[in-house]
Order: sequence, then C-alpha cells, then structure tokens
Amino acid sequence: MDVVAVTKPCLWALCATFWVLPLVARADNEPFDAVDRAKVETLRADVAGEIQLQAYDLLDELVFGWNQQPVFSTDTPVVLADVSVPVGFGSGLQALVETHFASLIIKNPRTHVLLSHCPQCTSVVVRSGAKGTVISRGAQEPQTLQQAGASAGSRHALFLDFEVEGSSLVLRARITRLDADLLIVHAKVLSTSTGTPALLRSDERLKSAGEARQEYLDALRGRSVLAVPLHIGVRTYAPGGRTVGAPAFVWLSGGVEASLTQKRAWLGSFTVGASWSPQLHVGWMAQARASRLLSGSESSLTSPDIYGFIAGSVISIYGKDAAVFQDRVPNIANLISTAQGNDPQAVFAAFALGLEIRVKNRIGVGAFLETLPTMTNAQNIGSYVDLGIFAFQSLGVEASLCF
Amino acid sequence: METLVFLVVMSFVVLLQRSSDPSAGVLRSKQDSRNLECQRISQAEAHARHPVAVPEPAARTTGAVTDALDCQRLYMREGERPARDELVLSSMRHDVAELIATAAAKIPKGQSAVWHVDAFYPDQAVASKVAVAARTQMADMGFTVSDRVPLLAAGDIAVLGRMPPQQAYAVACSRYEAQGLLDDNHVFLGFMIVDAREGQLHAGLCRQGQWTWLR
Amino acid sequence: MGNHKNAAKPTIVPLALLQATTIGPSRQLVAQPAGRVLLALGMLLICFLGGCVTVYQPLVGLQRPTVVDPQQDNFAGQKIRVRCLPEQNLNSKQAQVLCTKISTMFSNQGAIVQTVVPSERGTSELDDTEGLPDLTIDTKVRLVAEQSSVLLVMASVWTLTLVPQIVEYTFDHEVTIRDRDGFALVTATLSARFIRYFGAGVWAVNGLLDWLVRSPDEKLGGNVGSQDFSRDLYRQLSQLAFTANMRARVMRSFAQTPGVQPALPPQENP
Repeated sequence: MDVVAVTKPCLWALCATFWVLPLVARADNEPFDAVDRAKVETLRADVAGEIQLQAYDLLDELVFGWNQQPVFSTDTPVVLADVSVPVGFGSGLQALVETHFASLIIKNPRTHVLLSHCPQCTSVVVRSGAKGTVISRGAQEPQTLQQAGASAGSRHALFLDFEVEGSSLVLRARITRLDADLLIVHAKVLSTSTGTPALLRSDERLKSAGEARQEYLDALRGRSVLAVPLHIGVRTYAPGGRTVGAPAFVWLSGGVEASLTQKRAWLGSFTVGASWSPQLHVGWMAQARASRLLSGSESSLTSPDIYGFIAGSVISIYGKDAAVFQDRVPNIANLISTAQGNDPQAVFAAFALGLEIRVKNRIGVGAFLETLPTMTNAQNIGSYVDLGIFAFQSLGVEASLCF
Repeated sequence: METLVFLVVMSFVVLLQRSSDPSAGVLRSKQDSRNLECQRISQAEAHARHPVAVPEPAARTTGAVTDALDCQRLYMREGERPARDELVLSSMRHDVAELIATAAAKIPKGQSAVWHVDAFYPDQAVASKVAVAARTQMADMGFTVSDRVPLLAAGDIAVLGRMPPQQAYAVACSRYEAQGLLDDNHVFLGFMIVDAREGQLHAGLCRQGQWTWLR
Repeated sequence: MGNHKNAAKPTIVPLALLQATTIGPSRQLVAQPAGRVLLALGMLLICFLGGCVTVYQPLVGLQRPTVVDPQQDNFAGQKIRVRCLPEQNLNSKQAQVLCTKISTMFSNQGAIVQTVVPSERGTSELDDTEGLPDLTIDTKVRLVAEQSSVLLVMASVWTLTLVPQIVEYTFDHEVTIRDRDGFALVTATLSARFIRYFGAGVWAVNGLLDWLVRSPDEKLGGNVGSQDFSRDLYRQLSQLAFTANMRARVMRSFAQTPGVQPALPPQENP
C-alpha cells in the first residue's frame, strides 16, 4: 500500500470536513431563534394532528359505549354545552372535535342522544341579586335562562373535556341535568396514549377498542411468515485487462422467503434462477440470502423498509458467454472440445452484499456487489471495488415482487 | 485505503443499529430524548402493548434478556407549559383519584351525600381542569355530584383572600354553612395548592361547617 | 455481438506472461513494509487515545419538571435526616459519598442535615441524640438491568475500537420520605439509564460533533452525563422533599415547628 497515496486523500477529506462542518454549524447557529421557532411550530402541527386523531378515537369509544348502553331510554335532546381542549392548545381542535362528535351522534341513533342547538347555553350570563352578581355560562344558570324566557330547549347538557396528561390524552365527558341542582347524570373517563396507534374507525360501524385491537392483531398474524419472491435482475462484470469484456446477464429467479423474527427484521430466502440469451448462454443459479432490516426495528405497514443482505450463490453458465469466466490457460482438450462445437461451461461461487428497498413486503428494488472468489485469475474479469482482502467483481440490480 | 473505508462503514452500520435507541446520540438530541417517557417493563407486558415489536415470551426461560424499554412520547415538549402546571396536570388523574378515595372514606357508610367540587389554583384554566377531572371521576365512580359550586359574596371573598390558607378554607367552610349554601347532606371537596413551589394537589373536605384537610 | 465473435475463440496466454502479470510494479515492494508499520502504529495510537462516551437518559421519574429551585432557601431551619442504604450495587463507602452529596444539597437550601449510612450488619452508625428530624429521606440504589454484547466486544477488538463496545446500565433510586412520626409521606422511584460507548470511532465523532455542531446544552462528551444526572437527581429530591414537607404541614394542620419559616403564600385564595 502506498503511504503517500493513502495519506493525501485522507488529508484532503479531513480538510474538507473541517471546512464544511463549521459552515453547517454557523448556518445552524446564526438565525437560531427563527430556526428553532420553525421547528417547534412544525412539531406542534405534528402533535396537534396526532392529538386530533386520538381525540376522534376517544369520541368513537364514547359513542360506542352509548350504543351498547344508552344513557337515555328514549330520544332525548342534549345541548353540547362545552368542548374544552388541552391547556396550551387553540380553538381549532375544538371545532374539529365538535364536528366529529356531531357526525357520530347523527350516524348512531341507538344512543338516543339528540343534539340540540342552544346558543344562550354557551353565552355568558350575568345574574344580579341581593347576594351579589354572578357571571357564568348559561348552561350553569338554567333558572336564569328560564326567567329570561330563553329556555335551553333541552333538559340536559353535555360537556366534553380533553386534557394531555404526560403521554396520555384523556377525555372526560359528563351529562348534567339542567335544573337548580345541576346534578351529573352520566360521566365517563377515557384515555389513550401516544404509543397507541389511532384506530380510525368508521363512523357508521363503530367497534370497541378491544375489537379493533383484535382486528389489528389478526391482520398482523395474517401477514404470512412465508412469501414467494420473484427477482428480475441484471448482473454486470467489471472488465479485465483484456479488450474482451463480460456481457450483462439478465436473471429471473424465484423461491421461498421466510421471516425469521416477528418484526420481520430478519429474512431468509432460497431462490433458484435462470438466465438465457439466444445462442450465447444458458445459466442456472441457486442462491441463499439473509436480509436484515436497517430502517428501523420492525417492518412498517405504511412506509418503505430498507434491508441489507448477504447472499451466497452457485452459478453455472453454459455457452459461448461462459468463455469470459475462464481463469486458466486452455489445454489441448479444451481446444479440441471447442473445435468440435462444444460450448464452454463455467461453474463458480459468488457472495453478494447489497441493499434492497421494499414497500409493504410486496415490491422491492435492490442493488448489490458480488465477489467471485474463484475468478481472481480470470483475465476478462476485473473488479469494481478492491478491498485488498477481497474484491467485488460483479455489480447487479434487481426488482422483486413478493407473493 | 479500502480496508479503512470498510472498517469505518462497519462502525457506522453498528451506530445505525442504535438509531432506534431512545437515548441521545448522533441522530437524536438530548431535548428529544427528554421528551420521551421511558420505563422498563417485562416482556409479557411489552408484548401486550406492542404485539408487532415484541414477541411473546418463550415458555421456557433461556437466560436471554426478558425485559423491554417502553418509551412513549410526551404530547407536550419540555418547557411548553409552565413546570408547575405540567406537574399538576400530568399527575392529575392519579392524585385526584387518591384524594377522592380519602374523601369518600370520611363519609359514614350508608349516608348519602351530594358532592360539590371546586379547585383553587393560580391559573384559572388549570383550576377548571382539576375541578372537571374530580367531578367526572366521582360521577363515573357512582357518587352523586353536582356541577354547582357554592358561591360566597364578594365581600367574604375579599376577606378570605387576605387570610393565610390554613385559615381561609376553614373560614370559608363555616361561611358556607352559615349562609345555607351547603345542607347537611351536601359536602364540598376542594383541591388546591398551598405553596407556589408545590407540584402536587392538596384537598380538603367541608362538611357540616367543619373543614378537614385530607392531604 | 462483437464480443460474441471474440469469445468464440479461446485466448491462449503464454505461461510466462501470466506469471509476470500477477506481480505488481517492483518499486512498491520497497515502500510497503514501512507504510504498513506506520499505519498500524497510527491505528494503535488511536485505539489507546479513544475513550468513553457515557450517555445519560432519564427514565420515568427523573424527567418530570420541577418547580423548586435548589438554589433557594426551601428548607430553612428544617431538620432532615438522609439515610443511604447500602445495597448489592452500592457499598458503604459509595453510600457515604452519595449521602454527603445529598446532605450538601439540602444544606445549601437551609436545612440542618444529618446523614446515616446503616452498616451492612444492619445497625445504625449514628445514635439519635439530636431529636426527631422533621423529615427522614431514605434512598436505595438498585441496578435493574445491565446489557452488553460479546460479539460487539470481539468486533471492537478486531477493528481496533472503530466499532465501539456498548454497555448499558439501568439504575433505580428508590426514595421514601417520612415525617417525624415515621409515616411515609412520599415514595418515588427515580430511574436512570446509562449507555457507555468505548471506542476511538464514536469518541472522535462525538468529540467533533460536540466541538463543531452541538450547542452547549446538547453536548454529550466528557462528564456531561454525570452532571446531567446529578442535576436531575438533586432537583427531583428537592421537589419530593418539599412536597413531603408541605404534606406534613397540612396533616399537622399547619402547626408551626420551631425555626421553620412560613412558606410563600399562594397567589389566589377562595
């Protein structure tokens, strides 16, 4: 190894790093407050979106409970008196919650809850008397409303309160009878957490959280341990010192793939493949592959997964193209065989290292480098990457379909 | 040179494997790490919470690692709400439930009572949340709870405001009874903090003109 | 197709030429041994210089916000007894050091502190001749989990620590605070996780990031992990002790204890 040849690029790379990093740091530091504010706003939007979905889940759960055990035996008008959102959040979430709740109630008449419109119930009411002046919401002063001739239109008021408590979102719902006592006739406390994915239930067909979870588990178990992969790939070989280079080989292979862990973090597969070019070659290949998920700890149902893999193959090429894999000086027997019209044959092992991107364990694309340990002396085969310990002579790309 | 590159790539691969680790590092800042609420739980419990990520524990013990680090992201980032408000709100469910149980134990069995609940806290929004949490929790547990709170006259409130807390609540309780705001079978449960540096709620019970501190 | 015609005729290479082409240019043979020795020495130097990076992650309990400021007089005139109970993972000496640090922390907040480290035989080292303390704080440290990988150790050795060794510890600090009558006022478990990376690669990358990219609050190298943990632990202990103190006062119906300064009044009253 040439010391100068090693040192120079390293020094240049180090210098470049030291030049670039301060620039990055400076870019990161100078308009620090603005960048920080922008990041916080983006995070806020993400969190608000997540809270919205979790809030919908809690409302679904609440209405599902009313479907199973209605609060009222007959259809009863109820005023939606107040929807309060977590401390620190704005009124946008309030409007979304109200709309979703109204939609749920309309689509689930079995609850016997009829939403009633009462603007005076949510307005501020001022009552003055001998004992003093009281300022409150109309729903908390039903007698005042009655005296003022502004009847609530219903005898019950519903209050929905959402609050963030650590990693949990809690819904507290209560229905109050609008009379002098303001007794709470029904109350429910429900909670969820950031670790629980939103169930996204349909408004018309509500399910309990338990049923939805069971469906989710069934869907997970339904992801079969075994799959049938189909790979369509192209292998190219680095040209050697000679003018004759190896052609690209198109391979079609299929086999069986198994998930070795629950999270599909490890996969193992065995495939057999074939390559054919008219009058040039026929090839057969058997490959065993082990893949490891790199883009997380579990495969995702919604985003692409990146796998790294190593593979071992045995490849047999028969035909005129097999001549490029000759790694020894032909002897008399080879010459006679060629003169008699027998095409050369090459059988060799290959070890691959590659990356594959998969979507939903159905479609994938990948690229790999292969080392052919027995081809180090082949004159027509060079190497793309030489690590000293071994060299990669082949570069391939493939597209995969899994069934 | 290629060997060096290969070794560096290997070390990066190992570090990338740590990308899912919730601690601070190359890919995660300390701030992001602190916005996770993590605890060690058994594998069985982890499998129940995250069936995809954690396999069911083996029937036989193998000596391998059998616990998991379960992390939940906090909805509110550190510093987004005042520390005291965050402390009170994050432990509200637990504190309120505990104090309700203590309060309920003060009422003789077989005696029915109508409960009135209110909270006294420097921030009105948080006070409202605490009061709602207590009322809803009590009603959900089967208590008879009223949404109405007894109100004193402005003059009384002005006087009470100048008293220290150990006096004010007791005096307010006796005023409730004197003014007929709380009958014999009506009970008032109050939640409050006594010191600005506290992060946990106290509670007191007003019954028949007598104030009792619960915690 | 042109390749096809050429490939049909096998190429005959003289054996002598084959042997010549397998050997590289002769001038490189002279420089190679010295270069390799220099590189190996350099790697060994990096290996010895490479150090530890300990990352601290607060688990449940330690990352909660706190209100009490440990730099204020929060416990003026109060008597606090701190007991650090030796365990399997904390011998008497270490418990004494822990007690001393906690004692200093409370003393800075105005408290009169006495420390007790029960000996392993279970007898107290300090006779209680100074009267009942207002608060007794018991702390116990347990190692809950420890994880390392033999494969990583082997890979680290083979790559001269470019691949780091990674060891992970999780500790639980169990805190119980009692009043002068011995009733438990507050119990809490404060969990902390430490991940120790040993290796030249991670040490160098972390050092560069700390120096060039990370803000002072985000640095990970050096003693930062220990400092962050200490800060969190002291703040949480102060908050727990203050909460316990207030509970004790409320349960005694605010009976004044000698030497105790009244707490700050709340901002609103009923």
